[in-house]
Amino acid sequence: MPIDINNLYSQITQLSPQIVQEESDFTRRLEAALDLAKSQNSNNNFNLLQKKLKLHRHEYQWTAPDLTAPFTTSYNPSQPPNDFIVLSVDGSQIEPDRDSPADCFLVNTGEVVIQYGTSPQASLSNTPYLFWGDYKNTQNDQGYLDPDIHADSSIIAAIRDTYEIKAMTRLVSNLPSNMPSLGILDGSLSQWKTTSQNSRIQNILLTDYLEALEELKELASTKNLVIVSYISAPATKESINALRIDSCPFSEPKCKEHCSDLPALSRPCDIVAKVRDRDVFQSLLKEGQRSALFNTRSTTMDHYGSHTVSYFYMKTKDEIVRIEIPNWSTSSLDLAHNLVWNQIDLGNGYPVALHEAHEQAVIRSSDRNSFWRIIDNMDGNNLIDQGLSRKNIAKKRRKV
Amino acid sequence: MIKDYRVKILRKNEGKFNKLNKPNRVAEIVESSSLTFKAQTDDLYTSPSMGSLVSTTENNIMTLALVEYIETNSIDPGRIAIAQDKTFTSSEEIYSNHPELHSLLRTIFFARVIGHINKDVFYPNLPEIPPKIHSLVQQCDSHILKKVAESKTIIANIVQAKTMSGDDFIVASLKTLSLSSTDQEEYLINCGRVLVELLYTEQQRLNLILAKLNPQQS
Repeated sequence: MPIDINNLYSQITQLSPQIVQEESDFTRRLEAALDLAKSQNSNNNFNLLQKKLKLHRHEYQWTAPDLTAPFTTSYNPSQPPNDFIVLSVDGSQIEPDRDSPADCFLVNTGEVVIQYGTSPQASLSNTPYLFWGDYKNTQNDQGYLDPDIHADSSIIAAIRDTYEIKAMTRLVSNLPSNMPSLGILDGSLSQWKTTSQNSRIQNILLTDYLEALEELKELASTKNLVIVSYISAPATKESINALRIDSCPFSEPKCKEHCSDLPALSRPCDIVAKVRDRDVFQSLLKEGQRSALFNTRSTTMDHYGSHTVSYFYMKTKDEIVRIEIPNWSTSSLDLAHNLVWNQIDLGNGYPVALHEAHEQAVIRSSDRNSFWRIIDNMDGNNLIDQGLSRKNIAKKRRKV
Repeated sequence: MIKDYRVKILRKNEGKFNKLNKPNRVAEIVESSSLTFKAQTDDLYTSPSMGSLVSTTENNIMTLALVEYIETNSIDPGRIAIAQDKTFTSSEEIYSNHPELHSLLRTIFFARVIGHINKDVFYPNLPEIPPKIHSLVQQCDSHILKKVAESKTIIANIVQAKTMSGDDFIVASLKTLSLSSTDQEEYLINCGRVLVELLYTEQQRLNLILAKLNPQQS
């Protein structure tokens, strides 16, 4: 039945004055954050903050990065090389259907290679991977988990991340050694965190991912290549947390000791609460510019070793994006910046190659229906014998 | 280089790899019926011109058709082509900066079936069975063109066909057939005489077609 719009409308109108007040509050906090960011222009302030962040890391509760330069540092893009290649990979998935007799799921990777310059050409393709039974991949026998564990969406997303890295490695393996190249992935470079509490599953998933990253790293070292991931309109507050530490009135920012009794939004550092990284850099950067590099200290990277990432922010035509780059690729920062900007420019605000990789990867509802039809009809047409639930049968035979 | 990717992708499927070496191949059929077939060209914008004589062969029956309509559009019907950056000053610049367009767009043509050849004899009627989807399409050589051009009923067949390009299909097809003659002008004059007989009740239409056949005298 349609939603009760009248009921909903009265609730929405009550929201309006609250939104206005929140906007005013947010403006105040953003101004405070910008003041703190601009105060970094003084070498002394910057050095003090760097030191504060490092020395007291185990005493403050906020995840803040290591700084390499003041917040207000910006870099303009340069012209890309005459000839270069852009690789991009994106992935999608079909999750298990609880009502289907077949316990399987699918990961699909979209793979794009575009060469620019004197010999422009492109290759667009996608590769599906079917996981079945004990989740051994049907094609190359990888990804074994545990037959008693049902693969939920977070596990599948983690597996998908690994296969995206593997797909990128395949593309990189065919790159000419000397041509400047960019490999761009969608989302964060840290693997999707599974919600499973099973530590064995967590270890297997992470181990597979790190092994894939290691293979990519080794291959990348033989090419003129930089690997990045692209996050559109990021919601993170990681860099802002550094400003929190900067705003802390105590010489030693010991959160538990000084502020554990204070409610949220009343601590001194809450002057910048609710402000996201992108809100600050929206004001600090001009179109095409990138920020300084930040070295993440997020605990999600604890086991990543040399694959720990750094990141910077870029301003596109109409948004701030976060570019993550593994530490083994940061020597090619300028190449990353220039080629990402080139892609954004060609794509009218979003990287062309990433967009096409997404189009290759995406599984439309018609494809999804075809997939389940093939699976369900695999062993014949008798739906009951196949163990299809009544719910599934009812879904397939829609009637009035 | 990128060509390696293409070759590697193609080599996964032997049938596709062979297309690189297929002589005279211009397209592959993607829709087929008794009256027409739709074919996708191997490369963007490489369709035979309108009115060209093309063929496809299955079980020793060569189906002959005249190209009636050509179109280039997005491979994915859910994605449409939109204007690119205004700073580009030519289409060459656009394609050079967007090589992916060659993979996202396709050129197709529709061809009107006008007969078939069986054991080297041209029959000006539809083959019993239309060609299969994924049959390969070739452009016809002068030997086949001559057989078709000499058919007494070919002009009537062309005029009776209701095509998307209307009378321009008639003009283009007759010009193609005239290439088989050593005296093209004479051939077209003879075509004009036949058109007068066929279209004597449609004077305006007839005049228009004749004018298009011979623009110098219009």
